[in-house]
Amino acid sequence: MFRDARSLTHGERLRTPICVVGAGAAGITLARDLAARGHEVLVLESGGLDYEEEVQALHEMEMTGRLFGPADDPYPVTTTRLRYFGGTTNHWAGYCRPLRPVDLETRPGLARSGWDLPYEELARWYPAATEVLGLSSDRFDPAHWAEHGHGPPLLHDDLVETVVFQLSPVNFGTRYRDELERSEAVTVLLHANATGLRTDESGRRVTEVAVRTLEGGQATVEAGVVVLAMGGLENPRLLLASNERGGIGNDHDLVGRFFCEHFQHTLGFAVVARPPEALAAYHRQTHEVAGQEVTVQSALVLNDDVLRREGLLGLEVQLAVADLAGDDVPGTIDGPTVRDLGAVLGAASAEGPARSVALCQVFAEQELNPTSRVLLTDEVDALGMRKAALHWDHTDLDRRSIEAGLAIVGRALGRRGLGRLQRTLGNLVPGEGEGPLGRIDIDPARATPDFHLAHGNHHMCTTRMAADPSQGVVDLDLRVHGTANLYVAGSSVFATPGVAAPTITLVALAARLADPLDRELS
Amino acid sequence: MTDERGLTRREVLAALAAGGAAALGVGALLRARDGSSDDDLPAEAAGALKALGTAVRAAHPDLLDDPAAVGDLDVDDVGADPLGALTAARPRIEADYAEGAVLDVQGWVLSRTECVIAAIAAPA
Repeated sequence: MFRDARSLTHGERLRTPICVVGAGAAGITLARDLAARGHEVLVLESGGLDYEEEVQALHEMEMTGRLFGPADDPYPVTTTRLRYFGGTTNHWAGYCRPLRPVDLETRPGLARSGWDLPYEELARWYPAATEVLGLSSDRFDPAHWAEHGHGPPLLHDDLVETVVFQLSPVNFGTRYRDELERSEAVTVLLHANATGLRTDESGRRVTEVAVRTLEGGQATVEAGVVVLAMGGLENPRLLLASNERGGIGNDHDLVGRFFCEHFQHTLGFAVVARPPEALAAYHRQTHEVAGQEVTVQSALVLNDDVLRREGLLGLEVQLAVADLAGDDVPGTIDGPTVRDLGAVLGAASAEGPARSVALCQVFAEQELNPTSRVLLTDEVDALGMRKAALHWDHTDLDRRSIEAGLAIVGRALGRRGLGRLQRTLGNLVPGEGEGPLGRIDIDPARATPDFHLAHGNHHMCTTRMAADPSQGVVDLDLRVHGTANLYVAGSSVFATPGVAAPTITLVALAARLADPLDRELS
Repeated sequence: MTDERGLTRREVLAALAAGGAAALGVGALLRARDGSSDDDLPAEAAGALKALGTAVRAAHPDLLDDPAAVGDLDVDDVGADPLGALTAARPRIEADYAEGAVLDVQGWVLSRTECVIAAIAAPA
């Protein structure tokens, strides 16, 4: 059922066996699972059922660091996530692809890498996540989707592989609204902002969640178990804001550290000796599977052995393909053009001249960096809660991995005579052609090693999972180290970001969290 | 929000999402309409190779002095028929890519051998 905190009596006390803070993908997944296992759940949601400006403004935070961005393109830290029922799935693109085993491996060359959670244990929960996300299958490999008519991979070898992701049609706010409204086990308390956690004298057991409304109302939730599911920026903020001793779960000064995003940016073009229709798999394609329409799209990733051998961070490349003979082709200010390279390819390769041009939209993993972190400022928000600040840096390895990874994609194309790749690192300028690619010009003289990197709107690793309390904030059951009954769900628990969009993995981990909670509550 | 090229991320995503169907069909029509034919390709490729070679010379001015790069390529033969040399060197070019013998030329990831041939083809 839904209730509204604004209708509570001032100072009202609510009691619940389990309180989930946040009604986004993780919180809704967990609440549904626990309800299905017979547990009563109270979900606190800061917003209502729709977007509200004054609620969204509670996300405002100060930004510092090298990735603060140019003045006309600052990191949209307020709008990159949404603060109402359904959370950020109210505006997500739906990209779903599980992490791969290599994403969880401890890899040579990376100062911090690896998950303590075995991949098999994570993978066990992907089928549940695919169901929650309305996907047709838990298969994401090209061979499987070829059986359903998806086009062949351009590359799939020991340098570069093709992966397939599915696009989820599920907006949690609309898909699960009726179910939760009808639920007797789940109460969603709207406009209920968790502003602090109170503990017993030992500091190890959370006893209460302080709740405030923007209208000045106050309430207290007494809970047996508390789960924070507010996203990668708000989870650490609430932990840090919750006691006078530097925050709950922060004995090792790790809460909020290791903030990671996925860099997402146009950083190259490829000319390819295949007609555009042969590359259709790299655009969204809808196939019918068992009577259900499923939208999938292929992308290129670096082969696992390449990542291990080269000590690189993960890289995914999505392609936007156009006909090289058409008008939708990027220009070059001064130097050989993409058409020039396409023509040269005709002589240098048995595959013939290039027929297509593909914009390379890079999606890159970040190195865990302890200086990238969520902190509290001395300012307070409209609820009287200390505002957060985000210091976000990148490392030399972040950039080197992108440059080297794109070169490997170029080599993979070249050694098969399939194409040539140009890295465009900071040298794209507005063009005058037609179509998205034609509105881009390449100005080689502007290339810079400090090229701008944009973001994927993914907030990860700020309460990272680790068996050792000195390495992470939550244990493998997602319980905050040093506490008895406080858990965290969402991508803030990722030990490393990996190189896949995080939602399917955070949903899988939320589904998995229902297991230990079920045991504890039972 | 725009990046340094003035293209919004939303536009790029839209291209990724929907550009396929539209671009594919229209592109094929445009190719048929622009009058290009296979007969034009050698001349086009020769001009393109010179343009590339000019960029190679600028980016790697000492390339033709590097015996490891030039290998057994005969500069006179290559100069007389650079496209033919490029075609003849296909196995070596592909081996360059496989082995990582590549150079950066204005961001292009190119085989060292094809860079040598392009540099020879371009006026010094």
